[in-house]
This record gives sequence, structure tokens and C-alpha cells, in this order.
Amino acid sequence: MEKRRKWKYLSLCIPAFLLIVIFMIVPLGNAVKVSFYKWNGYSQKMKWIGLENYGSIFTDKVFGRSMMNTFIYGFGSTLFQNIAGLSAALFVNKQFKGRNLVRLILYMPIMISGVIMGAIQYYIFNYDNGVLNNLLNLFGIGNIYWMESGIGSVFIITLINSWQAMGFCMLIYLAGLQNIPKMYEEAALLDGTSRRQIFFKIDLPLLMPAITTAVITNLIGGFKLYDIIVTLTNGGPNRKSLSLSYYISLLYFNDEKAGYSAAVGIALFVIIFIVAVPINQYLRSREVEY
Amino acid sequence: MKTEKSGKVQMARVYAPNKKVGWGVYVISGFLILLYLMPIYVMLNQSFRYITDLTPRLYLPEKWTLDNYIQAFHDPNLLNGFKNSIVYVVEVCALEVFLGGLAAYGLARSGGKVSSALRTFNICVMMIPSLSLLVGTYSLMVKFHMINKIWALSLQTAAIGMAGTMFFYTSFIVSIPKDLDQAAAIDGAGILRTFFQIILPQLKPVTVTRLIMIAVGTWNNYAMPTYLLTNTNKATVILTVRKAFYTAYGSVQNVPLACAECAVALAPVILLYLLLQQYIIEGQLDSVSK
Amino acid sequence: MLKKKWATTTMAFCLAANTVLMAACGGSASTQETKGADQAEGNQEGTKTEQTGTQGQGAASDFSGRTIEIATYLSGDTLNAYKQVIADFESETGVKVTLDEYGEDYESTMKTRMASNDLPDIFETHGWSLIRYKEYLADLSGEPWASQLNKAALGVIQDTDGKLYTLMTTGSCLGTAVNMNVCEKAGVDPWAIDTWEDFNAACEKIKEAGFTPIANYFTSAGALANANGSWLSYEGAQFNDNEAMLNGTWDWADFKTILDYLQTWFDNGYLYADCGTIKQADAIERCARNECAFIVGIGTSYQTAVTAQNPDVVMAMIPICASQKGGARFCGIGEGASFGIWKDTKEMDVCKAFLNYVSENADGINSAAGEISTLPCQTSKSYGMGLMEEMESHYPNVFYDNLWDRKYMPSGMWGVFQVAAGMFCEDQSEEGKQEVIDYLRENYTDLYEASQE
Repeated sequence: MEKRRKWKYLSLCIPAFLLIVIFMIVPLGNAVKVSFYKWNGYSQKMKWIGLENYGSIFTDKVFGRSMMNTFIYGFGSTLFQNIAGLSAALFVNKQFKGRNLVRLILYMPIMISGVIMGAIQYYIFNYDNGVLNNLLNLFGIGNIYWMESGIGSVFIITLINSWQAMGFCMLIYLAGLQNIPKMYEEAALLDGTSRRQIFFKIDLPLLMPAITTAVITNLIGGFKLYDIIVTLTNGGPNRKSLSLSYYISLLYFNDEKAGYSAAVGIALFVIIFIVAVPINQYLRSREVEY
Repeated sequence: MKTEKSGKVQMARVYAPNKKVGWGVYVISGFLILLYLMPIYVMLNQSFRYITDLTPRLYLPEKWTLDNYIQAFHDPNLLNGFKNSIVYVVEVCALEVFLGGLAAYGLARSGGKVSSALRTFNICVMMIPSLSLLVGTYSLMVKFHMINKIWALSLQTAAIGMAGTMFFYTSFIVSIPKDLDQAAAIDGAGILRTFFQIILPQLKPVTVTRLIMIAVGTWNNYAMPTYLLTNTNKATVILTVRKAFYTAYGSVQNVPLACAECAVALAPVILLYLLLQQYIIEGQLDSVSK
Repeated sequence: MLKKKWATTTMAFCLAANTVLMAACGGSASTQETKGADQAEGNQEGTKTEQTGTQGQGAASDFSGRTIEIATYLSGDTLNAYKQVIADFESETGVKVTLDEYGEDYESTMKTRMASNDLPDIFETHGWSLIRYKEYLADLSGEPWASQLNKAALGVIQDTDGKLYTLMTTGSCLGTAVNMNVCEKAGVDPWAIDTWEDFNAACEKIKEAGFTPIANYFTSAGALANANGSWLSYEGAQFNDNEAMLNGTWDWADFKTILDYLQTWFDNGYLYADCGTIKQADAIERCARNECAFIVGIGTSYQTAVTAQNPDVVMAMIPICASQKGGARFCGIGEGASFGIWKDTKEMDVCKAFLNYVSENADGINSAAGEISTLPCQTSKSYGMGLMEEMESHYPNVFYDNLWDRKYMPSGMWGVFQVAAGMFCEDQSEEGKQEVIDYLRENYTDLYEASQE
């Protein structure tokens, strides 16, 4: 197409990208600058220390732990949400009384803010007077200390997050399923293909755009998990259930290490980048046109 | 509508092994409903209690009271919070759909290297953790006197979601045949008109999906508004409810009151969702036949 | 014109001040009412912000049209009492007050604002006026109320050069909280406890009776930081490392004794199983259910909260135990509701007038907070005051001082202690303890150097 036309189209992008540059790139630049200083976050004085903050990242045990947690939140949530979402979509696709009700209720928790959900779940998983333990007590089982270990807490947080956001995946898959032209399935049925094969050979590939969208969105969302951890575990026993996002804010506000916090922020960005881009490329390549 | 209905019936035929749905489905449904409604039950249960009620949380209150709700309704901050939240959400949605959609259109149609680079840029931007941007954003807002102005916060929130919106829209616009554009051009429509009158209507299901994500996310947004809407009468409803859950050092944490406020804040959202769900969910699924 | 206005204002203020003092001495029960009557003349700047304006007198003059921004972290009844003061001030002087209630996010929001040098006109210093906020506060030592603050308050907020940066309206008194109901059932007399050994013996008895002796939680620095002076700093203590702590040469070796002692809490099972993840609200609830007996190193607002959840509980306070016989029994005094003025505020006079107003009408805030009074206008005895007096009747020689970590540790150590508490709660082995000590020492040296720059 002629150059003029092309630039005309591109000019449509200006307002959006302008906003992005002002509100994301500029503050990001500020963060990069701060990462080279030692600063307590509120004083007017800062001290230049070069790459020292980045060096500290490699010896920081909590960083390593948080990074691992972030991966679990990201990949774990994505895995659970997508499998659950797809199953739910298939389930809800059937016709039965009350189906709409089920669909409605499955989607509802998304409306609840992560902060509020964490606060409520705190009272469900509480050791002493938590609802879950109350339930167990009814059956004669003693209290379980759910949040005792870091790994346990991380697992619980992942589960809660997946449970809450599953509705989103469910809808994307429902839309995708309904997008599949029936003629393909009917033709296959006529050919005598089993339903299982239909699912794996026809539906899944055609669901790829939906899967791509769902997986990338979930992944990035899981990596950035923050709200629910704040109110549920505050970082967990001895900072063991922190996500990198939460660690960044803790470093800044609690530990008063603003420079180091900025460095960790940049590191998180790089990590997400390294992980998400290849996945995106791979999923895009598997999309099938129809 | 008709097509959709028959499509659904055919779906049932393909996916439901038996024409009659077994009771197992109902058991699963019942379980799912319980699982998903539990936090709501816990929250409502708490909201009807006195603060001195120390019985296990699983059980109904030993003495019911409406005091908490009365107090919640008399809280001027809550009503104000609603007003602010609504303004905030509407502004962000409008900004993201129009500016983001427009930009996505430009990207999709221009093709070529610049467009590709910009799309990759978008994905990178999507990965920037918002907490890293906190200090930089705050300084920026202070410098331009944009603190405590909802429109400024809307711009900032829209900017952060813009990359995601563009990502969403671009992949879908690509699948809209270019012939439509050409037809519109022949009819004498400029680029902008083409977008608003031809393309955007085609994107209804995507828009609805994305709008829900944006609206819910913005409504529940907690991190940035806490710092940028410092004035109590500019706070969103989530901030108000969040405040109810905290305990300043030594104060008694009034969980029942917090839960009541939470219920009051959630009620309109859920109500709206129930009213619109027909349109929301059906709208999202209504992408089968073009 | 201005001079004349000033003169009238001064006179009006003096008149008001007099009336207020007289009314206050009259023993008013509810602060707000008395305040209202007097305030009518005085500076009613209802701004919550502390104004550094020392125009002095709180001229109750007319500041109508002016606006101030106040930030607060208070909540519940204390906040309501504060709002009343502000409302009265607003109606008296015509100032418009914008109140930001930050709650739990107060500290992080303030830090963000400090970084951009955009602070509210008046904000609360919650114990950090000298350590953290000093750079941004105006000196208030010339204010009329500065000389009226009692010794307890001055000891906490006055800098070494005589300056002070905040109006401390209530003080929090920190000791060991005791649930008398539980002690009675277990046959323990808390007033007889003197040293930590006595304390452990009492805990043993309580454990045998089926209760949880100690409700301390290790998600806060308190468990590791509040009682330390009893081993390291006070008269008759095991060690005396004060000088080393203050000049940055302390090697933390003696801290091991404290960790060894705290380990006995874990080994003997005196703590809750989930002490590593619970918050203060949980401890309050469990105490209200009469399930636990002691919390070491906590302010009187804790007891106030417990009785609010269960009015039948009888609480008491004992000083921090001594590390050896004859050692001083200590209670810490910290800033309660304290207000400072941003030094770059544009409404200095309004702010100062507001502070004056608050200083004369702080009774309501004090009784709501359940803490100890610091100003002469506070005549209603708060619950916290009651606890303190009961304690003093058993321990006439109790020693009051600023909180240990604020006096002997550099700024920022509180956060370090919090992380260390979590580390210790997880692992009390020899290696674990050594790790905690190394962590503390490393950060202490870092922070000390930073504070010297």
C-alpha cells in the first residue's frame, strides 16, 4: 500500500502511544535512574552506587524465593485456570436445568477485588477461628495450620487466584467453542471420528487464538500478582510467599531501600519479558486460520 | 438468535454423550455453587454480627443485628465513593476503547515493519510491573498538579491498560476482511468514519469482553488510586471498603462493619452484573455467525 | 490594620485560653462539649494539620476562606474524636479542612509524598518525628503548648538541641499486657512476677491450666525489639551496651542472650502454633475469648481493644520484667496521636492556630485512644491511664523511658527487626540464631552509617 496511506493509519496510533509514553515510559526511566542510587525513599538526598543494587540481586535469598514464587503464581495460575476454564466451558455448554445459574455464579468472583477477596479468605484459612477449620472441627478433625509453610501458602494463594479468575477463561473458551463452525464437526462425525479425536484434532487447534489470549493474559496477570497476597498472608511466614511485585513494594516502603527496589523492578520486567515473548511467538505460530 | 439457538442444540449433541444429562451433573453443579459462594457467605455472615460475637465463624451469628448495615448506609464516604468509582470506570473504558481501538486499527491495517515493531513494543509494555512506576508516576503527577483529580487518574489507568487493549483488538481486527474497508472507502468514508461505523460494530463481542475486563479491573483498582486520590472525598468505593478492613495500630478491628460495607459496595456491582449478564455472556458468545 | 487585627486576636485568644483552662480544670468528662464552648473564641482552625504557624496564639481569628490539608492514620473512635475537634475548629475560624484518612497505608503514602516533596499541611508523626520526619517538619518549640507538655511527652519528642517537632496529645504506654481472668483461673499472681524466670514459671502454670501463656506474634518487630532494654540497657540489667549502641560500635554479641531466652518460649510451647502468621487483630480476639494470658511489649491500646470486643474481660498491665533480680522494671512511652506541621506549608499561621486549638481540646482524643495524657487539658481519665495507675500502685519504682528501639537504634531498624522476627520464628537453632544476629548487625551498621551522613 502506498506510503501515504500507511502513515495515515499509523497516525491513528499517536494518542494511545502518547499516553503510554507519558505514563509508563517516563516513570520507568525514573525507576531506572533510581536503581543506580542508594536512597531511603523519602529523603531528598540520594547516593550514587552504580551497579551495586543489581549485584545484590544475585546474593539475595529472598529475591530467589520470590522469583520462584512468581513463576509458580504465573505458570501455576495459568495452568489451573485454563484447565479449569476449559472444563467449565465444556461443562456449562451442556443443556441442563440451572445451567445459566451455574455459569453466572462461576463468573461472579471476578467482580470481587483482590484486596477484599484476600481479606475474606484470611478468615477462611485462619488457624484458630477460620471457617475451614470450623468445618473440619464439625467432623472431629483438629485444626490445620494452613499457612504454616511457605510452599503451602504459595499453593493456597495460587489456588485462590485461579479459582477466582477461572470465570474469565471459561468465557473465552465458551466464545471460542461457539466460534467453531459446526460443519467441521459434523463432517468429522459423518466420517466416523470419535468425539475425543474431534476434540483434540479439530477443536483445540481452532481454539488457539482463544488459548493464546487466555494464556498470555493469565501469565502476565499471575506474574504481577499483588493485591491478594497483601491481605491474605502479608508475604507469608517469614517472607516466603512474596511475589516479586510485592517484594518491590516491601523493599520500598518497609525496608526503605528504594534504589534496590527499583533494581528489582527492572529485573522483574526483564524476567517477564524473557518468559512471555517466546511463549507468545510459539502460540501465535500455532494459530490456524479458518 | 435463531442460529445461535440451533447452534447450541447441535453443540449439545456433539458434546453431551447422553441426551439426558445425568444426576452427576447436578451434583457437580451443586458443589461448584457451594464452593463459589462460600466467601460471599462468610462475608454476609460476618456482617450481621456484633463485634463482641466471638463464636466460630462458620456458624450463623449468635445474635443478629442490622447495626452494621445502618452504619454503612450512613457513611457518606460510601456513597461518594460510588460516584467517584463510576466516573472513573466510565472515563477509563471510554479512553481505552476509543483510543486503543483506533490505534489497534491503525496497527492492523498498516502492516509492515513499523507496525510489527510497535506490536512487540506493546507486549513489552504490558509486562511492566505497575509498582515499579509508583514513585516516577507520583512525581510526575505532582509536578503537573494532577493529584486528586479523577481525570488524571483515568488517563494514567487507561495508559497502563492501553497496551493490553491494543493487543486484544489488533489480533481480531486482522481477521476482518480488508474488503470492508475498501467498500467504505469507495463510498467516500474517511479512515475515522470507517473505523467507527464499520469496524467497531464488527468488534462487538471483543469489545464487550475487553470492556468487562477493563471495567472490573478499574473498579477494583487499589494500588495507584491509594496514592493518587489522597483526598477522602475523591476516593473510590474500593478504597473506602479497604480502609474499613485495616486496623490502625491498636484500634479494634471492626470486621462486621467492614463486611457490611463490603456487602453494600458489592451489591450494586453484582446487581448490575445480574441484570446485564444476559447481554454480557450472550454477547460474548455471540460471535459465531457473522 | 494587620497589627490591630493581631492585637484583637491575641486578646481574644488569651480570653479563650483562659476560659478553656478554667473549664478544663472543672473536670469535664467529654472533651468535645467543653471544647466547643471555649473554642468559640479560640482558634478554631479545624484543620487537622498541624500548623507550624506559631503566630502564636491561636488567635481565634477569622481565617475564613483558607484551606488546610490534614493527613491522619487514626481510625475508629479516636478518629471520630479528632474529626469533632476539626469540625469545631472549622466552625470557629471559618477555615476549610480537607482530611485525608490513609489508615494502614499512611506510612507508605507519606513516604511517597515525601519523595516528591508534596506533603499535607498537618500530618501525624506516630513516634517518628525525630527519626524519620524531622527533615520535613517545622520547629514548634516556641509554641504556647510546648511548655505545657508533661515530662513523659517531652522525654519522647524533644530533640537533643531542645527543639521539638510535634504536638503529642496522647502517649502510648508500653508494658506487658495481662489477662486477669486467665491468671485467676490458673492460680497465677501477675503482680508477683519480677524477673524473666518468674515470668516463665507463671507461663508454665498457665499452660498446665490449659491456656496459651503468651500471645506474642512474630509478624511484627515488637517481639524482638520492645523488651530488649531489660537485658541490654536499663539499670541493673545484665549488660550495659548503651554507649556502644549509640556510637555504632555495638557487636550484637550480647543479643544472643535475648534470643536464647526467647527460644525458651518456643521450646516450652508457650506460644500459639501460628505465631508466625497472625496479626494483632487475631491476638486481640483470642484474648477477648479468654484463651491467652500475656503479651510482652505492647501498648495500652491493646487492652482497650480487647475490652471493646468483650467487656467482661479484666485486663491489667505490668512493666517489662527485669533480666536479673534488682533490675529496673520498665515501661516505654511512645507518641500516641501526635501532629506536626510541614515546614514548607503555605498556611503556617492557620496550622499553628490549629495545633493550639488541638492542644486545648485533646481530652476527647485521649479518652477515645485509651492512652496516657500529656497536656493539662486532658482531665478525663482514660482506660489506659487507669491501667497505668493500677500498675504504679504495685510497682512504685517503675522506670519510664522512650521506647528502646527509638532511643538506641538508628532509624530504619524497626523494619529490620520485623524481618528478623520472622526469621527467628522459623528457625531457633544455633545456626538460625547466628543468622538473625548477623542480619541485624549488618543492617545496623548500614543504617548507622547512613544516619551519620
